[in-house]
Amino acid sequence: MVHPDVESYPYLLKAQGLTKRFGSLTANQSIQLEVKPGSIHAILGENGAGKSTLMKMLYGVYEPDEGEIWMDGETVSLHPPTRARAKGIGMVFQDFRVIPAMTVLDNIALSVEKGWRIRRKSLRNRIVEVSSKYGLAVDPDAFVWQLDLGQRQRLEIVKVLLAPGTRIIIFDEPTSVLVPQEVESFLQMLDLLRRDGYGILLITHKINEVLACADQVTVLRSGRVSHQMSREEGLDGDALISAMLGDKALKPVLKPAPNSSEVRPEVLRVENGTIRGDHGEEVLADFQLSMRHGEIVGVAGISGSGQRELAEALFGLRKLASGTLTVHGKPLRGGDVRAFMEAGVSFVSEDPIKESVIPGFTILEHMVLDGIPVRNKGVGIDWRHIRSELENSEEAKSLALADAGRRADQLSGGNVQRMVLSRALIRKPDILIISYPSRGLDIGTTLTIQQRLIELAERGTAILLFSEDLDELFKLSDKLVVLAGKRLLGPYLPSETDKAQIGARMLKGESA
Amino acid sequence: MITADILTGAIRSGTSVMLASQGELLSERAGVINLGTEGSVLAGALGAFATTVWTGSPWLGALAGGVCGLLLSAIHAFLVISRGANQLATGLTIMFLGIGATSFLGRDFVSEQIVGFNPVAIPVLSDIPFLGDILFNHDPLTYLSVLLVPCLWYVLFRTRIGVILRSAGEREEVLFASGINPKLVRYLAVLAGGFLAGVGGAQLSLAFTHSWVENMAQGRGVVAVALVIFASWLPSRAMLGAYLFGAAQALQLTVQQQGLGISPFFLFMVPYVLTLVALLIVERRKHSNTPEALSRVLAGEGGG
Repeated sequence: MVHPDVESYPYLLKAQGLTKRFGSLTANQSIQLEVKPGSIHAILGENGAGKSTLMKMLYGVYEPDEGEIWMDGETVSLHPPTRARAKGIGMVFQDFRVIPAMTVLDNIALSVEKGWRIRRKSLRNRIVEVSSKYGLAVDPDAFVWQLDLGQRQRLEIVKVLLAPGTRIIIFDEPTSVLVPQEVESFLQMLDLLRRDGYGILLITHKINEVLACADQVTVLRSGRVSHQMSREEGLDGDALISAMLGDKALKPVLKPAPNSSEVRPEVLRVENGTIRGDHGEEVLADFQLSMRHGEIVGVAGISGSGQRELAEALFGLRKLASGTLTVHGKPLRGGDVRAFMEAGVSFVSEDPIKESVIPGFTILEHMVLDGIPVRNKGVGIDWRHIRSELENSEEAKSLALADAGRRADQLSGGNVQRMVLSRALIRKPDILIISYPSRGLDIGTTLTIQQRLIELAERGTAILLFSEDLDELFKLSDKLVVLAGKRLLGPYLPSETDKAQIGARMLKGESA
Repeated sequence: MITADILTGAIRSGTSVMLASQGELLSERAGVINLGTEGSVLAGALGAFATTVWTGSPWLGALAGGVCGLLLSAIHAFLVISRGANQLATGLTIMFLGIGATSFLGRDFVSEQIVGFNPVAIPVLSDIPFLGDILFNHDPLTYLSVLLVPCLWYVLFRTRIGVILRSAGEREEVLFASGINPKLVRYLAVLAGGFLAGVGGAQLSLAFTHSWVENMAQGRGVVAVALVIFASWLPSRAMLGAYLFGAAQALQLTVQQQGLGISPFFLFMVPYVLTLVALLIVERRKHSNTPEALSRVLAGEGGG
């Protein structure tokens, strides 16, 4: 069979009518798309829109039920992934496929070398060459467990680039693990790859990135292509949003103007606080922090600047090395989490899946474990009663919490975040310490959560919000502090500063 | 000369533990903990002894010992890797199966005599005062076992085979995504481990005691498993640990011979206590070397 494009193949890969069903669920329905050399094709969609199913078909993890894939003028089968890789398709996963206990070089050797030998010298040279060419700084002799997420991602990219014959690179939500500064250089790297003729598939739910770099966009909604456009035709952010969300109207998050004349009572205060890290090193030195009733304090900073330690110290999980911490005017000592909870402090950790979830427990059991009020029935718990109370609670409803009987390890990241958040909110906390509420979530959920935080503050909860998204911080915060160089800088009023200034302080500290 | 005796004894008596621990190390690096190693050591000791009795050749005996150890570990590999059985439970069962089966099958060999392996002094080197006798007057299996350690290190950490084997013990999905079957890798690692444990047993019956006695391994295979963990899965440290255990054995024998009036039961205990103490002293490292797949086993998730 001769394909009409056989003369020139202006595409690297072309998919027609791809359909994938899982039981009664159709995850992808008649998807059509083209990947051209030297071009970035973004796949945009909300969680559950079918992006990952599509990518898994293109990377050979799934065999399509219907439809065909063309490469080099003929139909090809990409299943299993080894076949896709042999055809030059590489994938940079969101959960990196790397082995922490081994060095960067060994990890690369595993997928790139053939035979039993590792030609360390030539492999090291190739790694250095590729990483300097595309600005992918990564030390070949470092152990992967020593690397941060951005560095691990660079390792994955180097691995894909060094695999022989790679022409198409699929990126699965690549920027979800990066800090703002890294996103910038990531996009520059994508541009270099594009110039060198690679075909790039970028899976994302972030419209800004699509607008910044994509040549073509395919928007998925409920497993179907809802929109396709290219840069020549003009990319329009609003059109993309409505294609992504469909009829679901998006209410913009609105924050009421602060009433400056009113002096609100202070609920939390740290004086001359010093916090040490896990290995006894100073993470934050001699800082002051004050939070007032109904106030959202945003914390900006490059990841690893002491965010986790500060959040833990304010919830009593970590002791202050020196200084005093008072809640409602009462001094509290670190190490006694119960006292912090009784004083009205709630905490949403930065890695809820790891730190706040017991895999085999249901949502309901998590709620009870964390101490939502329960009614007893005989010697046991009246499960039916709490379940109905939970399901009828305003928090669960507004966050669209999943069914209370579902096991936590079978929830998606977004649903875990909803669970952890509704659990924190259900206690009606006076003070909420919340880390990265929108990390890895789609726009719809993010907006819901942001709206909930604002409502909570209006009702008097003081919120300390850690975020790596400066837009989010500026949108929600009454005042901002910056963590940089072991110091806590600020507070700054969002109305009197801008993202550039805050970004500079994140990088350079007070001198900026 | 007591020191020299103990040090020579450390190597002579430690070699079987050392071989078993290197084998166990391979298996654990690939993600399978094999408590059945004790059984493989015994199977190797008996298989080697019997073959030597029949053929008169200790070399054929050592080979047969390795094969017997491998066969017993194959049961473990099949149950754990193919059938997903709990590694700890399976290993323990195989250990007792090995003890029982060798005691039963070895009844007739208890009175047999063999020549086996005898120490071969290396010319010139063995003439070095003090050290010569300790280091360069051993049986051939011992020399081979010493050469084995750097070879294993090289394979594990410098070749792609090693990277593949370690990947199987860390994250099999990563290996799978590279187009390699992790189960096959584990099978090979467990079988190789069983072979080495069997050769260790052969050294025990052919070179160390020149006889077969039921349950003669006396927990050497179990000590080997513990050593691997305390050695942070590094071949050189496992070797050191094995020789330390051997030294304690030699010390115990020497003290008994001197007739110092210490209870023999207490002396039997000494090597194990010393091993425990050594393990206690080993530095606690900031980053654990434990292969990820193994830590899942140890945490009770069981299967292969």
